[in-house]
Amino acid sequence: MKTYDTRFGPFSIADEEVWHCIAPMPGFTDLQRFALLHLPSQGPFVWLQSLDEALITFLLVAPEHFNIRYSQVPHFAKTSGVPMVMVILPQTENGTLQSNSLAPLYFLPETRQFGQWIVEHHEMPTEPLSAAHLPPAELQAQIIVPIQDQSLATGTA
Amino acid sequence: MLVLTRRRGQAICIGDNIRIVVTRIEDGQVRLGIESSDNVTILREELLETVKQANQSALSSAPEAFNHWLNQQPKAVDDIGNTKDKA
Repeated sequence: MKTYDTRFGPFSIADEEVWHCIAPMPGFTDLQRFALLHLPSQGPFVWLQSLDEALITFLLVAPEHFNIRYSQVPHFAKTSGVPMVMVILPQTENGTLQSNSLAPLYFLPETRQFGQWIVEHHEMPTEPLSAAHLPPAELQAQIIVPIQDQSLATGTA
Repeated sequence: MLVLTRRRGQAICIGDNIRIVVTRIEDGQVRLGIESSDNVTILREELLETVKQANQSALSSAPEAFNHWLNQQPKAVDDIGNTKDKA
């Protein structure tokens, strides 16, 4: 167990719970170790927190929440995995959330690895896809509960 | 920059694991075949730039900013299932 600085304050995580990036994210290719953090009040969203750079976080959600389906799997996927998309917050007061649908992330829970892959085509069904109100359980995101002294209580989703 | 001249069917090698073959030259375009190991990402340059920019945009999603967005839209978490992709 080691304590890391994060956007949410100091956070303790065991080595076996660290996610390793095997297909680097363009623009962030030096970052390799990450944690998945979940605030229960934020429903299906999870934070991909860099353990190499404390200020780097990405908000993720399952692609179904943007009515996106990926029929392909990335080249680095040797086992079954979980796709997630980066969320881009609106820049205006009444804007809507957007997704980085061109470059989803693919998580491999068996090996605790993930990577970003670029897709040139994805499906957007006309009928809304069903979407869960929690992050995918396979990801075992660490639940974080801010407490009064600015440190974090933790658990596993 | 190293500049090489190749004809159709000829190749260049980069290290031991990357081989690039000129498969067709036609109408001012060159078609390339690329052999490499699985862990090498190969992208058209303009696509890579697009993804870099999108990743930078996603990085700006600070936890405080997202909480602010959620607080402005109390039902947002329930309604996100109906959100359409805008990217």
